[in-house]
Formats: sequence, structure tokens, C-alpha cells
Amino acid sequence: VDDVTEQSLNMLYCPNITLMAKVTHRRSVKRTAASDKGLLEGLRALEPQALSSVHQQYFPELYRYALYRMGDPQQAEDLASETFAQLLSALDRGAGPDRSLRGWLFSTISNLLHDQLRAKYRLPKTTLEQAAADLTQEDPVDHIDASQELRQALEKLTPEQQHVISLRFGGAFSLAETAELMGKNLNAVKALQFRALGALRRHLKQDKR
Amino acid sequence: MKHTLHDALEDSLVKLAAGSTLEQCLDAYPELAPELRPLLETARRAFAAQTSEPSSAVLHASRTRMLGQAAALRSAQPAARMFGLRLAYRMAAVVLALVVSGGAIVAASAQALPGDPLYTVKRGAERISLQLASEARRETLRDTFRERRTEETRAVLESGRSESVSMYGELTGRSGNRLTVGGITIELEDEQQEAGIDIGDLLEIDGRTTPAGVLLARSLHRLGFEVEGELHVEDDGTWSIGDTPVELHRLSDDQALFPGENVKAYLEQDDDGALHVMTVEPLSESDGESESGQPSGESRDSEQDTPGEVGSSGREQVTVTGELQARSQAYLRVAGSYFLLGSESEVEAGLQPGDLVRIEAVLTSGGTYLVKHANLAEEELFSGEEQESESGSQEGDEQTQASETEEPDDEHSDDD
Repeated sequence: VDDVTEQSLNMLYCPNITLMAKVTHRRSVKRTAASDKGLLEGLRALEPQALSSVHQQYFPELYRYALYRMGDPQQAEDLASETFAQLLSALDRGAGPDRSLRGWLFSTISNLLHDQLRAKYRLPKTTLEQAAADLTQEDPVDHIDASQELRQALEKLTPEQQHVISLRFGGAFSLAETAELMGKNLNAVKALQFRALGALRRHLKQDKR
Repeated sequence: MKHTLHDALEDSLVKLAAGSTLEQCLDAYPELAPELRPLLETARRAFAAQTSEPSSAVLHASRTRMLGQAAALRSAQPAARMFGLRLAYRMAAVVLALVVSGGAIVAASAQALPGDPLYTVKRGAERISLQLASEARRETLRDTFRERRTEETRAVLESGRSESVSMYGELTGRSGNRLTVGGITIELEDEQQEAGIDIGDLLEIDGRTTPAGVLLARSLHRLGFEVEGELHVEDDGTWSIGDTPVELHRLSDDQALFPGENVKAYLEQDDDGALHVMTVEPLSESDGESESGQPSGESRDSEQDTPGEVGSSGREQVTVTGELQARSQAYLRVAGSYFLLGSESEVEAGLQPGDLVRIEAVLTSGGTYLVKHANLAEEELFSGEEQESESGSQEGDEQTQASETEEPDDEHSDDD
């Protein structure tokens, strides 16, 4: 029994959303705010209207967040779309957002981003020719624009620091919204953004040298 | 003090976002200005990098895709929703609840063997979990399910029933038209089936069990096997061993691989037919036994022609010191530049992104830099890197920031 139970829990594949694994379908609906109840029921039934309205509301935010971090519109579109694909599969098996739909979507896209960045460093996507071209160019640092420079510095921060910077500055979310999206209290986010900005500054300076 | 600084930063960020100038923000906290200024400078740059909304075409395309996926999910599983899997689970749960406690349905279908009524439920549930699993998780699940198939086959054979089964295992012996895989005796309908397989290969076998306790193989498929040969990186970034194209991303990050090296690797095929390197080890010159067993096609003579050779003379040498931004089996990235790793590159063990490294490289005729040596650089050449220390030494961080506060004025005017 344990083996299969564990397996069915593992089917809830979004690693950070442990709540989903612990809360049964019925309880999760009960715990959701009444205002969202109708929408969530529509979502769980995969109703086009509910899905469209959620997509319209959150796709642009997710896209901007991904673009801020990746700098590539195509990748941003793919990541935001993949986030919705994951939402569909989660909903289809009776899992998915428990309390905050937006929080669920942002932690999902943040995980996808980290997977992608890890994969990017694991295998050389850069071909030998590209690498040669990169090397024969003049000082590469002179050619990158300001936002690319920022992104490169951003990539060196811890995942949580990247997340807070991208939400507050890329997504223009307020402190309270950011705290909700990250599942932290206000003071923790204040401290985190303080450290994140300090670290970002150090890396920006370093790259300039 | 700490709280005041955190609060002052937050207050200033709100003002910056609302359009206040940096000086206006700092005026509110004159005593904290030296610490706040550099952070607000950075915040301003972070705000400035804000991106645009997706175009309506992108939005539309994504929504159409999503609604298509939703429609597919709705129509793919109407039976599962109404009468199929979920209902089957519930019905069986009700039945079993009469006998044992809740949750037993899961156990019931888990114990099902080929031919049992609940067996299709079990396989269906497995298929769905495979489809929904992340890629990394999928590999583990697939292995688990393969082991399960083999155990089921064993159980069916013991029961003496005749059922259609599939199983997986390593080929440990063969004689005539009989193979031994995972302790199970397999009879081949046609001896041709065993062409091209070797002891040690991982096989997938579909067939039918007989009351005599033998599995009659209908089809035999080689899923995993060993190869030896020279490791190449192709121009398009793909890897191969000898003539066999391979995927490396199931290997752990710290596995050192050098193009041009002769290696012995164990490969496994995935559902798409791609061959993944599961383990790899270099074939050293002294490895006489492996060499004698090496397939004839993969000659060591080609080593001289590999792109990964470090030349000895007449080439421009460079020495670079900087933070290691990324590394893979094929390159190190420092200061935005790629330094390729070749068969003779010497890389100090355990170099991690974030380390300060010193690289000696040569410019090859192909215009690429090839690493000769890469080592951890002396710490005193470097200051200001404190990324790792953030949780433990915030005070230290603040001091660093405070001591750097003379510069921002210049940076500030640059930015304006």
C-alpha cells in the first residue's frame, strides 16, 4: 500500500507545492475563499470560460516575469505556456492551487525556470562555432546591453533572491503581494530584498571590471 | 537598526516606483543614505530592466494552445472521469471497504497480475503517472514499473498460468534458443531474434508464459548496452561515442568528460530511441583487458585528429583569472567567454561555478580557446565576493557596502 500511495503522491509533481499532496480534493475546495470557489470549480472542470479568464489575468504577469529573468521572448512565452499546461494537468487529477492561484502559478514558473537554467548549464547548447565566434568578438562585456548585464548578475544570486528581485522589480509587485506569492511574512521579504539587492549590486560591479 | 534599514529601503522602493528621484528618497533618511544609496542605485537598474507585455498574438496563441490541451484532457478521459479509472477506484474502494479499511483499493490494483480484472486499472494508472511526471521523475518511475513487470512475470510463471506479459532484465546467459534474463528462462520463437545482443545487455521482452514455467518470447528489444569508443562533440553540440550518437544529460554534473578520450559507456535507450549515457569511464592505456575486447571499428588512431587536442607550440597562450560562471563537460565559462575542454586539459577537481579560477589556454587554429590548465586562483587576488556568506554575516555585508559608498556618486551621474 505504501509504495503505491507514495507513488500517487509523487504524481503531484510540483515539488514545492507540498500542500497539494497533503490536502485532499474535497478539503482543498472547502478551504478556498468563497469568492474563488466558483472559479476554482470551473477550473477543475476544465471549463473554457474559467480557463480563459485565468489565462487572461495571469499569462501577461507570468510572461513578464519569465522575460525579465530569461531575456528571450520565445522562452518567456514557452515558460508561461508550460505553467498553464502544468496547471491543467494538476487540475485534471484533482490537485492544483489550494489557496492562492497566483501563488501557485508563480512558484510553478519559478521552478520551471530553475530547471531550465540548470539544464542550460549542464549541456553545452553553445556549439563550437558559436563559442569560437564569442571568443573572437571583442570584449564581450562591452557588447551586452544593460538589461542583459542585469540578468547575468541576477543569475548568480540564490534562487530565492532571484525570485524576490524578479517579482518586485520585474513584476512590479508590492511588498504585500510579493510576500503572498512567496509565502513569507512582510519582514522576511524586506530582509530578503535587502540582501538580494546588495548581492545584485556586488555582481553588477564585478561584471563591470 | 537592522529593521530601520530594511524599512527605509522598502519605503524608498515604494517611492522610487511611484516616480520619486533617488535624492528625494535619500532625503528622508539622511543618516542611512550611505547604505541606502548603492542599494537604490541597483534597484533603479532593476526597475529599468522591466520588460514589456506579451503581444496580443502571443497571448492569443497561448490561450488557443491551452484551450486545446484542456479539450484534449476533457475528451481523452471522459470514460475515466465517468466510468473508468476514477470510478473503478471508487467502486473497488466501496467493495473493499466492506472487508478492509479505506485505501485498500490502491493495494488491490497494485497486486494485480496480468490477466486479473484490476490489471488494466494498474497499468492505466501507471501510464497516467508517467505522462504527468516531470522528466527526472519519469526515469525513476519507468525503472520502478519495469521492475514491477518482471516481478509480475515471475509470479505468473510460478502460478503456471498462460498470460501475455512483458519483462525487463539483464541478459546473463544463453544457450541455443534459450536465454536467461533476470533468472527467468526465455525461449525464442526464432533464433534470429537474438542477433546483435550480448551478455550484459538490458532487454525488453514481450511474450507469453507457459505452464512449463518458460516465457515464449514474441519480441526482444535491446534497451541498454555497453559501447566503447572515442568521445566526440559534434559541431552542433551533440555528443557521440564512436559512431553512436548519445545524450549526456542523465550523467551527474561532476562527471568529467573530455572530447577525444576513449571511453567505455553503458547506454540506455529511451522511448524516443535516444541513447542516454548512464555510466562512463575512461579507457586508460593500461586497460589492456578492455582494449582487447574493443570493437574493431573504433580505432584509437583517430585520437590525433580530435578537435580537443591541445597543441604544443606556436599558438597564442592566454591566462585568465575570474569567477567561474558555468562549467559543463565541454567548456568552462569565465568572464562571459567559453574555454573549451580537450583531451589534455587539466582541470582541478571540484571547481564549482562561483569559484575564482585561473585558466591557462591556447588559441587554436579554429579560433577557439582550449584549456591547458584550470585551477582555483589565490583568494587574495580577489575581494568583494561574498555571495555565500549572506546568511551568516550580514554585518560583514553591510560593512562591505558601507566601504564602497564613495563610488556610487560617479555611477549615479553615469546613469543619468
